[in-house]
Amino acid sequence: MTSYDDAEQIIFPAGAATQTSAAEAAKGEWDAVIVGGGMAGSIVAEQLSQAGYKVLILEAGPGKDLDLAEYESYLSRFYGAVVKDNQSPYPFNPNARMPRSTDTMPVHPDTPRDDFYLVQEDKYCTDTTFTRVLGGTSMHWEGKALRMLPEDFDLQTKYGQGLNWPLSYDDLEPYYRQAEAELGVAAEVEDQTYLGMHFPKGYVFPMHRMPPSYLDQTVARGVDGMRVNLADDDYTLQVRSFPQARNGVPNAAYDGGKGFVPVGAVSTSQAEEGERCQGNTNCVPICPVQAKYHAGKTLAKALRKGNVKIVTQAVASKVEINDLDRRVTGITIKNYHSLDSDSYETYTVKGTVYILCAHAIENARIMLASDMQRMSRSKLIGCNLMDHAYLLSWGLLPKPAGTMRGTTCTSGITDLRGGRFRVTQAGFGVDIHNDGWGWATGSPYTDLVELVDKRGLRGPELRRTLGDQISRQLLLAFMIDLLPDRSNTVTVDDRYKDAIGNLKPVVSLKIPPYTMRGAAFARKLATDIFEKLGAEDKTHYDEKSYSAVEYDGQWYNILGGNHLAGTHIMGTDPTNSVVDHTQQSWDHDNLYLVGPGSLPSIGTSNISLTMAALAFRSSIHIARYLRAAKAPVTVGS
Amino acid sequence: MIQTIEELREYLYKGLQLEHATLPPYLTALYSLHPGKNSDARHVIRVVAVEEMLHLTLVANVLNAVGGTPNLTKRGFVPNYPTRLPAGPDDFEVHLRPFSPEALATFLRIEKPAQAASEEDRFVPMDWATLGLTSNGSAPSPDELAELEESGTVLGLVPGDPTQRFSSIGEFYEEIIRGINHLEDQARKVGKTIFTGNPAHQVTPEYFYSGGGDVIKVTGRDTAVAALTLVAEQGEGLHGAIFDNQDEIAHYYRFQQLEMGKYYQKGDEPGDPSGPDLHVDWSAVYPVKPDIKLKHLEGDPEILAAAKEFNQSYAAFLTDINLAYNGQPDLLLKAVWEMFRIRDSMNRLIRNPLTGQSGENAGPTFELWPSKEETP
Amino acid sequence: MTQGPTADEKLREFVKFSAAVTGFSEFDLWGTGQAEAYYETVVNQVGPDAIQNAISSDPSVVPADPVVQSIIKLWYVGVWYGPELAGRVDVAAWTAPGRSGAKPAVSDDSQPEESWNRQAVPGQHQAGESGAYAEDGRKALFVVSSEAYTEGLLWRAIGAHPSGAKAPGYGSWVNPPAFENYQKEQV
Repeated sequence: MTSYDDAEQIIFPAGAATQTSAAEAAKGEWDAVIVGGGMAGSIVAEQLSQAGYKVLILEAGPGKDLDLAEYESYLSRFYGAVVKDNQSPYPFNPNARMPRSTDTMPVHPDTPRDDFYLVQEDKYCTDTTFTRVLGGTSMHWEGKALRMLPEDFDLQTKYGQGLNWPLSYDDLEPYYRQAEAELGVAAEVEDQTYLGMHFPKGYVFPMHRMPPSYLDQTVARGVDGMRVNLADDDYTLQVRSFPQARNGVPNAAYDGGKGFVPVGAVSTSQAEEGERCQGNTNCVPICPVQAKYHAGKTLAKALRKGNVKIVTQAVASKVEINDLDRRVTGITIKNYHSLDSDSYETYTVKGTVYILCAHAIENARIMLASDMQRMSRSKLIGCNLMDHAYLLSWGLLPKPAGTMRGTTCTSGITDLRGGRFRVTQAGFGVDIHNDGWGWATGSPYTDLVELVDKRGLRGPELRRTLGDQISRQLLLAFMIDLLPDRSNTVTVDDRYKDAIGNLKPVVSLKIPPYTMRGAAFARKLATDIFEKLGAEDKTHYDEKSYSAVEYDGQWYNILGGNHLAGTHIMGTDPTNSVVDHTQQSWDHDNLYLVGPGSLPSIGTSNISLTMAALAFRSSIHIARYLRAAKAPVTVGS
Repeated sequence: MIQTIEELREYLYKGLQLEHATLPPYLTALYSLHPGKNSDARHVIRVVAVEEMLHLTLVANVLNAVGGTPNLTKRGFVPNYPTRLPAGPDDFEVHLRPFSPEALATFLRIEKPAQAASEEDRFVPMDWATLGLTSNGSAPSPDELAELEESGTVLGLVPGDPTQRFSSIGEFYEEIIRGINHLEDQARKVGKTIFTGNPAHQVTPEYFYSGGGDVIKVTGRDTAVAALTLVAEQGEGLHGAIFDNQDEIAHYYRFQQLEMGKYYQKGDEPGDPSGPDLHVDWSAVYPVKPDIKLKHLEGDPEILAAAKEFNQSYAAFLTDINLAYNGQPDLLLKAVWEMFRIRDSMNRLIRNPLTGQSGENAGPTFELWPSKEETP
Repeated sequence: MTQGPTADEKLREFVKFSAAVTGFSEFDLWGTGQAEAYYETVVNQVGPDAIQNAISSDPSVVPADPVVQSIIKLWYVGVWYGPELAGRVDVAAWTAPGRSGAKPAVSDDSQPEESWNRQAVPGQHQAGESGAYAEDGRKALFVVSSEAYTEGLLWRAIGAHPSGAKAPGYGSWVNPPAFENYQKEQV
């Protein structure tokens, strides 16, 4: 086991978020200016600070300090919120708004400005979200940390679909391991060696896998060994544990026997908790004890050296560009005073290199609002917007299965993530949701209202019926691949502005037939699984909903996955992509776009681990760029 | 001076008892806090309580290493509160009571750095007359002593010599370390060792997690001394220092932060914390009846039933830990589940107002072995 | 007897009645620490007379008095669903943890999202503040407090714990669910 000497208390320096002001920051000359204090921004900041560079992070959201009191205020806000959607822990902020699933609806120019952030004018609207507070969307992510499959990197070559990456699985593999260390991933290599995924000899994950829930075991009894035929190939299904960025039992064999020390809660004082998941079943929207990784853990490390400064409440509004050499000359920010007022000051901060890490939609929004498409040789800024298409199926098991316990999701079915069928239809992963039908129906609150108000139950009978009914719930969430499509876009429109005059993102996302073929197959598979398990299928789709999609005469509800990607894809040349394999802009030498927007495809793994791996990889290139740029004899890159 | 291996094991059993004895008062104060309030106090007390569990485990490892058998289920292992702990020259009582300035003062006193000035000061004569615990005011007869030990009324007595007690918990461990050194020296002279215990009974770090340092696997003199030093220092601080060599804040200074309204950070001098502010709301506390007993619950049958049930769960918890210390270390994982269930039952008890008692609430009694006449 | 019941007696009567309709013991209800807050909530929302009516209503009548239903739901999830929201499954869905989806049509005096602005003030968050009070101070929908959520009885009824609180411990989820003895005789 690890000796205690390696353990470090992760103390977030008190006042770190207020050490410098926007005005101060604008006076300085920074090596790197990073837009966005989420997972990608924190990793790049930490890596560059280790290399000795002076880094400024601009964070649009609040986050006066990552102290325990602030974190617990998020938790308390969630507890007390009437609507407990995945943004409910985070304060409403008109100056840097976030999309909320509750706001999802088609809007038009007359829709009251305060009713929405994401502008969607189409009939189909996605309820996808991302979070704008210090720590970014990692504050509410679920924490699954899957690698992409080797075949996901050359989908076009293999199956004639989507786009190839300029990188292979093997190029990214060492960085996946680095990301797994940073995020603290709990999994076993033997569980994760499938569909071509491979690991160096002797590798073990930092921590052992999360124990599969009783519900997983129940489902496995029906599913394991089930055979399906798809595009002339046979597949045998099995319930498999998901890798999770969540603290479990450290693997003593990690790092050649050195072991691994989990990073618990981050605070400005001694907050000794979160070294192990307690089973709060609340990964989304917030882990109460910080056993789940969030970017604050990396940020705290980044701040320790003193090279990194943060300015919060600083919304990047414009990327300033010298028209002659197309180099970025500064980032103009609107530094608002408080969440209650729309007054702000404008500053321009300057650095040697600029890194946009504001997530797929905001990166595109900032660039489009800065009129950068006119300089883009590919014209692909904001195009190829991707997100996983989620299809839910839910049923009632014959016996109580302990639903509503464990982490949000411990296991699933991954055998149909890849295969030759991807020539014609999308692959998918299946999540077994430990939190019951909540996502689909609003259970258990809906059950309560049904039983009390409609069936008139009370007393012991109410108590017993609730226990019996809810503990039998099974929800399967199918996470379906959505390929890059030029016409799925983020744009901006002068008619839509937020409280401080920044343009809101206009999103248009359509679910293509390729994905819907996967959805239709998934639906059929769900009914087969329910039948195997003796579960009563309770699934129903609402064709009146904004999420309704018709395919082959059937209606489905396709929900957002919060896995936004693709708005500045990486590729092999300036005409087919926005960034190169290092995430450096093809069109602006001193600009890097680091984040899921660079992903040319998303396969069937949530984007975080891949984004983190890419952030580590790009950090090396950015440091190299800075070394060259700051060298006495300038070497052009 | 400890002369035999049996004496050493007896001392280590007393060590287990001492470490555990702080847990009920800490837990009672912890769960008396209103939910959603007093976050700083909650974290400070919680970490100390978790570390007391670590200490218990470390002492068990030492006891196992020297071929002893931890027994947390022995009658009298859990004291009948109030109990007396060794903390300085004066006697002082440790009560089960809600979080309050008095409770905090007690906690500070329990953890106070108290290295004896001289060899003689390491022991304090017992003033049995003042305590009034014996029939004639003199040192208890063997029978009386056995009874006192069983009720856990006085902790920290010098085993075998009821006229004296240790001046502090630190001195108690100092005595054990001297005993280990002495016995191991003697054993080595004849080519033997006192570390003859079954290594499979050691609790290793993967079974225990907390913010407060790692479990040390005890296999010989060095690891035994390291384990006991950690126990002593994590309470009082290393030679009165705020941080130990693992950057852990000593319990005394953790509690002192609540008194001073500021966190310590590295580089601070004792008494002068310079870290972030912290806030204590003394009023956001449930008014738990101090040293509550089952006999106080006669008028509240539902509460009485729950209090009895709680004591049973607590006994089951100790039984599980005891099994973990006796060759089934993986049961510690389950003990954590028990601990969380105990948390929920304590919370329920503490929020129940007593009828007929103006303004007092129920609480856990920790009477694991109530005599018949005390049980209503 | 000329004197009416004291405040304490009224509260105890409320808890006793609540125990009968929720299927939990009086000890369990007091154990939530929410008895006073809930009693106050009901008095403020429907008035003391409505509580008396509820307590004396015939439990065999279906549909039950909507105030009784509001009281049951209050104990179960800490949310006040006013009697006018009885049977509103769409509202229930909206307020459940984990749900994603657009807001249902709720009557204009009860739009929780108007509270978001108010919740935005750091450190001054009023749990469950649901903004628009009607003229008479009544609100159709709010969470009584942050603690009310974590003290919901629903979670105990289903052998679980509130999502985000009272965690059961690492790995405990591998075991089959354990339901407490829910058939215990009412005291």
